[in-house]
Amino acid sequence: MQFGELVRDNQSMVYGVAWHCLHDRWVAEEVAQEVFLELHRHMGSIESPAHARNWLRRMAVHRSIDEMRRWRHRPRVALERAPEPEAPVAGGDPMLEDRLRRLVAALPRKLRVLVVLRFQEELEWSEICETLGLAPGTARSRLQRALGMLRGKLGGEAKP
Amino acid sequence: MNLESDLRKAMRRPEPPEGFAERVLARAAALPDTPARPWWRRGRSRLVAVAACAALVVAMAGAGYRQWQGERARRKTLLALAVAGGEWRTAQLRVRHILAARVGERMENR
Repeated sequence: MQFGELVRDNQSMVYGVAWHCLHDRWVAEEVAQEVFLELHRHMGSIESPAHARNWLRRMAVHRSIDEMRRWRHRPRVALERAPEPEAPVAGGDPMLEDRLRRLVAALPRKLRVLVVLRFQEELEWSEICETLGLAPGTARSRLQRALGMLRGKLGGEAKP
Repeated sequence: MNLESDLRKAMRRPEPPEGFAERVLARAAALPDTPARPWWRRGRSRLVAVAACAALVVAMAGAGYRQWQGERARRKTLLALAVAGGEWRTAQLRVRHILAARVGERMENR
């Protein structure tokens, strides 16, 4: 199990979590790099690639949450003016997807992280609860609240 | 329109910027050496430690069994000696009793 291999295999996941939480390419890259450097320091305790992936995901989420907390005290660029990353565009409606990404980025941070884990990482409830240290009922109700807010902001276009 | 399915599409993992992995590796290379994994967490060392513990347990169990067998044999021997000693004493008393009876008969005949 080589460090370089773990970086290449997981870079998209770690960067993706940071980018969807922070919506800033430079900050997301910095957070993702820090997460991998932390992994490098803990390579001795990593037992398998699957262990490394879970460890990286948890670390990426918590580092992103820390960064979001710091951001509360900083002036921020309006989301509408924030540069988009090189997100893959394959099928779907690019305009709608762009709008959804911006709306997710505007959600309160606890809800945003949950949406990222559920829809980017497509984690099971048990994995989400383990990563965020939440009770299953809390996680589900937060996600329902997030979806409700997104539906509301889409102006009734996104009815279930 | 299905919000959850649209979210899945919108939230696909973005590609990290060009050269991301190389930048991480360069920064990692500049860090001080990673502390070595402690010996009890290394695969082969862990196997050897488990095998040594198992061998120790088997050896201690073997020694205990041998001690128990020896103790059992000693008790059996003592019991056998006690039984044999008791029988010898009974026989001795019976012989004395018979001899005394014969002497009594002879005295009466005279």
